[in-house]
Amino acid sequence: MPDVSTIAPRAKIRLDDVGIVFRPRDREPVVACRDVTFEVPEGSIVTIVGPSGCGKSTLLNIVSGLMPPSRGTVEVDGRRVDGIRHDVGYMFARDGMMPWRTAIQNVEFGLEVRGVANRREIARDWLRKVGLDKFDGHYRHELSQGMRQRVAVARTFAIEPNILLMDEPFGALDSQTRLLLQELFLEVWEKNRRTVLFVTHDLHEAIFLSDVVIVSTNRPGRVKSIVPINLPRPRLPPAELAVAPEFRDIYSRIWTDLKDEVRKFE
Amino acid sequence: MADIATVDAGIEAGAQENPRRRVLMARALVLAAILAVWQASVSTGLVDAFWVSSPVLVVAELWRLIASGELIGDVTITVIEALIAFVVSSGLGIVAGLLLARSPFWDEVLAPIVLALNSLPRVALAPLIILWFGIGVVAKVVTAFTLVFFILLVNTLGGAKNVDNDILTIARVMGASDRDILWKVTFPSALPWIFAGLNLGLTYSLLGVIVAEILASNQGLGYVIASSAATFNTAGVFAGLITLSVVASLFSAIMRKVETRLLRWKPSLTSA
Repeated sequence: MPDVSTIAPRAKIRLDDVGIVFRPRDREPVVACRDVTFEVPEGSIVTIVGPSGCGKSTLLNIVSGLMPPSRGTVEVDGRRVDGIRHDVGYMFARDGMMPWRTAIQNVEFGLEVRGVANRREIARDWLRKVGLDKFDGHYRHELSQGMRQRVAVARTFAIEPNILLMDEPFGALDSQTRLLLQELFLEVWEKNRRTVLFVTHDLHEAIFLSDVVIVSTNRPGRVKSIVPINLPRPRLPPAELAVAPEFRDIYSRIWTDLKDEVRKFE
Repeated sequence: MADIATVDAGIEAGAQENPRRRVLMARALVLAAILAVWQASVSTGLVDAFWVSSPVLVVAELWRLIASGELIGDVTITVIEALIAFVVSSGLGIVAGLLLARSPFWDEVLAPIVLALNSLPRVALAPLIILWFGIGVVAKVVTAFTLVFFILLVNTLGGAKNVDNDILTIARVMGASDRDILWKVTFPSALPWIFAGLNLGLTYSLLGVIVAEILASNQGLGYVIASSAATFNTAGVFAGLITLSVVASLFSAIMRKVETRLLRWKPSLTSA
């Protein structure tokens, strides 16, 4: 397998000198982030870690086109983003399941609005991949938080999105369930290796999943450091990886960078 | 293990069945007691039957109205008027609510006007409506409309504005059009609110129709009540009232059935 760092695949997502300023009515403008420049290479997982309020989630909104940047440009596939993109898989900490639809109908939603004919089969297939084939007819309130997030994973992958934007998708789960879902996510991701831009403040999660970790400064968020994670794929399960010496080196390197920023925030 | 489970289930079933039977029996006793006191106070001459009638007289009058075929005609008229009013007013109210939810500008323009109209005691409009539309079906439907339309408008708007933001964002980035958002997100999400409105609306449809019938009509349950009172036939008034409450109870029972069916995804409804 070729080394990622030597052949430099083309950039799938490119942010160039992006700045975001919020101008709330009757209050001082807030600079959420500035001078943000980085690339997400095709087929890789890039994770942004940083203190709360450093504009991480906002960056995802900008890449999806839900929000325009105040300055700078965002490109996907070499084309500037200038409106809501419909080829994006988006995941949040909250599951976003529609409570009036069953699990399988939730997975079908994206396929339905795209007019995919065999959506029932595709949805069933994805539910099976996330281990929920027996829960297809269940409504949201009949599923545990972990199961809801599995539905969200299935729903996100079912539309075969061009890019995946993950905003702390496992942040609301208890720590055991989170480990299971991180593993599940990577397992599913390995099958087609979509490009992923991930946001978290869980360092273990960032290292376990990513090819590159971007450390953001405190608000206004800027790129503090870009750390390549040269751990072989497929990755070891998170619990095993966490005790590997390479892992600990990377962890302490990122934590050193992050610590100062979090401290400023305190 | 199996034994314990069966025993548990047995205890639970017994515990649930007994109170229910006791409630039903107590309910029947309360009703019987009221009727007995009513009948006794008239029979002993404590109160004059001219003013309060009596259970025996009411049953006789009910029977006379049923046997002569008068009652079924009046009930049919009232039910038809109320249903027309309900369907038309709810339909338009829901559509208006969804439209306003899509247009913040018009929502802001119309909000105080809707509030003012909705605060007006609509029954006060009935004389004017009768003046305009006469004593036929239209006047009854319009009277009920002034009540029900706003209930559905306000509830639908409230529900449509309360759609979960995460769901909206996810639907949008997955490629949902405005139309998809309206019918596959906003509408189902507002459905519990709409149903709360429909439940009220059904009751108010009947209210509007009855008020209009009492004020000016020559048929319908409201007319039975008003004309009986005008001829000092208190037994006739009670017969009309009892029929009316049966109709109203049937309406809400049907509504609850439909609601449970359509909102079975709601945790509170499925567990109840």
